Amino acid sequence: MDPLLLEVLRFGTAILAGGLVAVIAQRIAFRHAQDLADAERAHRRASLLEALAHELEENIGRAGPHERTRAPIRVSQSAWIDARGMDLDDHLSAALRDAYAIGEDLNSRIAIVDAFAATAIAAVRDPRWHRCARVT
Amino acid sequence: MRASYLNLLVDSSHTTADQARQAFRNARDQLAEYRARGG
Repeated sequence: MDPLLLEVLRFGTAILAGGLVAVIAQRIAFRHAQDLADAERAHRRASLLEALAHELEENIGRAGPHERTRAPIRVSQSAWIDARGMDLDDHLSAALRDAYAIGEDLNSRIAIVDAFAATAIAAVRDPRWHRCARVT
Repeated sequence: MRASYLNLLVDSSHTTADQARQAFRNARDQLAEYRARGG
């Protein structure tokens, strides 16, 4: 065989082999990166659900005992804010939305009570009018 | 008057707290079910 042709064949084979190895390596690296990303996503999802479960438990406690032996405390919403974008079951999403909407209402009422209790009031001693003037 | 108004506000916050407690319990139970199903 012509030595030049042989050299060309060797060169071509080397190029093809190199290209093939590069493609295989790239595919392996891509799949590995994809697996890592999936694992990271699953881990983050599990963490968010765990945080949400803790927050729900905490908020049940913050709402106070059924016997009303102590005043309710403002509920926390940080885990819900973080988990809001998650793809969840429809019933679960609805239950969470309802719970946190009532929680927000509770926070607002607690703020009103606190503000009212902290404000000095001068009451008008006239039983006909039942008016009171707020002193700020 | 002030005291009765404050009592009214406190009672209202307790009523909302009762509803919130129930709603958070419901959400907690549904979340536990969801996680048990592997969600």
